[in-house]
Formats: sequence, structure tokens, C-alpha cells
Amino acid sequence: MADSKTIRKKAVIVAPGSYNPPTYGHLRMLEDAKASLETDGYEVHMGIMTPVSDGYGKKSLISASHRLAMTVIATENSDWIRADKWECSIPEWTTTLCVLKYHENEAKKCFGNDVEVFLLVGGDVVETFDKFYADGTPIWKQEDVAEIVSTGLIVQPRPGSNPEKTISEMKLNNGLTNVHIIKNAIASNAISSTKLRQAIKENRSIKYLTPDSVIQYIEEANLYK
Amino acid sequence: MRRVALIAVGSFNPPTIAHLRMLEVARDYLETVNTQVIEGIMSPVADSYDSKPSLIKACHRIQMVRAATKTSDWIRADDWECTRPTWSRTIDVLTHHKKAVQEKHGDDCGLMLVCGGDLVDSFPRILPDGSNLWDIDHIRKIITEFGLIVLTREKSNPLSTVSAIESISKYSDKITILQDEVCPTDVSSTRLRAAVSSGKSIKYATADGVIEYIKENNLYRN
Repeated sequence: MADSKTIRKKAVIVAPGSYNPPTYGHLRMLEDAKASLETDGYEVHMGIMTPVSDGYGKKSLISASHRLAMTVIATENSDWIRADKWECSIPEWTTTLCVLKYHENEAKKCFGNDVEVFLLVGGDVVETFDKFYADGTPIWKQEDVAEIVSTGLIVQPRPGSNPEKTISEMKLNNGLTNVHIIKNAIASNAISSTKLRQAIKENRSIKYLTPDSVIQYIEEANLYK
Repeated sequence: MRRVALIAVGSFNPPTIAHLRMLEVARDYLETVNTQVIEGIMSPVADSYDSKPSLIKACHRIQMVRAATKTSDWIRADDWECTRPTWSRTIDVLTHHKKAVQEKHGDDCGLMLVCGGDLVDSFPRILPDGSNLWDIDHIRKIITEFGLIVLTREKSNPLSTVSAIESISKYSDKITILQDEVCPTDVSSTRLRAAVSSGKSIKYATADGVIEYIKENNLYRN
């Protein structure tokens, strides 16, 4: 803990995802990111979970209205994390950079111009920064990656990923200055939404993997059957 | 259809979602093999279990297990073991609960022990005074007369541990080994205590009721 005289830098964490459905893994990732930034002298004012738009076009993706509702419910009893509907209310897919810039702008209105906004991703996502689709087009626009990395990026390490190395090798202007890697996570393994959907389909229990209120919503709306 | 109750024993210092998932996964599995699970019991060890200074008082641990199981419609906390003045052997805890379960639900009802791979890894452990932590005969009884379900964790290999103990290796095929495919979580009580003592959040790693209890009683602070 920094002493009270220290002026802590202000931070907001933006966590994009399918949230199909949201799990304790997503929520833990935000909690671990906050703890890690606090260790580095930040005060984290807000965490934002922003479900991807239906326009992203993944087959298994259920309607954004459900995914948003579940994310709202999942964050109901958090005093710092909230769900945001901006991204998923746009029918077309929005680039990650665009989502980050929107929230940076909003955060500045709320918390002042000195607030820093961090994009929260898993190490597996960082590994796609310099990769290509099968047809040869890059997965990410390199200028987008450069802008994200210089805005702020916080990464949850995953087995087999080496985010610092991948980003360094891209030789971006600001290097790793605004890149944070989560240390001392309580749970290093993310709960897989894919496996969760499979469990629902097979009538296996998903209790303790996501809040009870989310489980109730899934049951009532008869989702993932 | 077979009917069984499940019991998980441990420190629960504090209980985590991993403890609760063990029981959920065991129940899901049993239902696929034509077995009805009538209840789940979490039984914290008594204070005299060992002298580890990190083990907080049983009165707190039982309250946390109660808080953790509050929203479950089949798992409950039981204080029989932790209110006894001395440490109980697992076999005695099982014997007590099997009798209680049969009195409540009928003589055809079984009781199975659900544990993590780390418990199995303790089977061959020798205590500092040279005696065995486990009586091999008790392990055999647990496997054959009760039933043992083991949830594997990373770095534990329960099957090879059991196979290496000569007198019980022949029962190794009677042990059910499961893995939580949905949530290969490595949440541990040790990590939770470290987080609490350094002022970090443990939200979503255990039930909210447990977090509230820890805060109100100022536990795991040093």
C-alpha cells in the first residue's frame, strides 16, 4: 500500500470479450488486473466489461441482448466493475482500438484528462498481434496495435504466451512503457466459456463458475440448449 | 439406482470455489453412472489437526463453510468433526457420517469421500516422529467400504501414488478419478490467505458470504 501522501495515478480498465456467457474467470481477471495496477501505484476507478457486437459474426455467439443482460447481472454486486452497452449496440463489429478510444474519451469526462485507460486481454490475444489469417491478411492493423500499446495494455499471462517478447519484437515506438503484465494472480487459469456452454448443453453443473444470478438467467431464457 | 451422500474433508482455511466445484463435478459424474446423490457434506478438521500457525480456529472455518454452502440446495456444512476436542481419523469421520446418513435416508445409502489429488499424495507420508500419517488398512477401507472420488489437480498423479503403495495398489481401479473440465482452476486456500493478508481482492474466488465473514472477523491479516 502506498502511503496517503502519494498521489496515485488514475486508471480505468476496459475488458472486451464475447461474454458468452460471462464467468468468474472474466471477473477474476479484472480483480487481478486491478490488484496488479495498484501495486504499480495506480488507483483503479472503474472496470468496464464490453460485450462484442453480434456483427463479430462468430457462430456460437448468442444475441448481444442476452450477453449484455448477463454481463449486467454478473457485475451487479461489484462496486467497481460495470457492463457497458456501447460496443454491442452497434450492429457492425467495432475495432478494439475504436472501443478503447471511446472509453478513454468517456473516462476523461468522468475522471479528468489525467486518467489512463488500459485494455485488458489474455496473453493469447497478444500472441495474435503479429499473426496473419490463412488468406495472408494480418489479424490486427499494425497501426492499431501500436496505438493500443501506447494507450495502455494490461495482460493476463497464459501458458505458452510471452506477451513482452511478442510486443518487443514488433518494435513499436513506445516499446513496453504502457504495458503491464499481471503478477500474482489468484487464479491463473481462465474458465472457458466454450466448455461452460458444453456443460449447460449436457445438463452438467456450472455452479460456482459464474454468479448464481447468471445461471438463473441462462435457465429462464433457456440459453445454450 | 444406487444412492450415496458425498463428504469432503479438509481445512477449509478458507473454503474456495475449487472445494465446491469438487463436489459438483463428483455429483455430475455419479448421476451419469446411475447413482443418485442425496447430499453433500463439508466437514472441516478440528483445531488440533496440526500445529500449523496458518490454521485459524475451527469456529471461524465452520462459519465460512456455512456461508460458502448457503446458496447450495444439496451441500451443507457439518460441525461434528471440528467440535470434537481432538483430531479425528478420516475413517472415524466417515464411519460417523455413514451411520448418520443411513439413519436419515435408509440402510441402502452409501457415503463416498471426495478429495483433491493432494490428499491422495499424503497417503504415503511419514510424520516427523517416524510414524505413518495414514493407516494403510484405513485407506483400504475407505476405498473398498466407502468409495473414493479424486479430483486431479495439476502436478498430482493420484493413480501412480496409490499404485506405488504395495498393499493397496490392487484397489486402484476402484478409485474414481475425475477432472473438472469446465474449470481447471488452481485457486487454493494458500493463495487466498496470501491475497487477504496483502489487501488484495478475493472476490469470485470464493463465495461472497465467505469474503464478508473474513472481513468482519478480520481474519488472515498477518
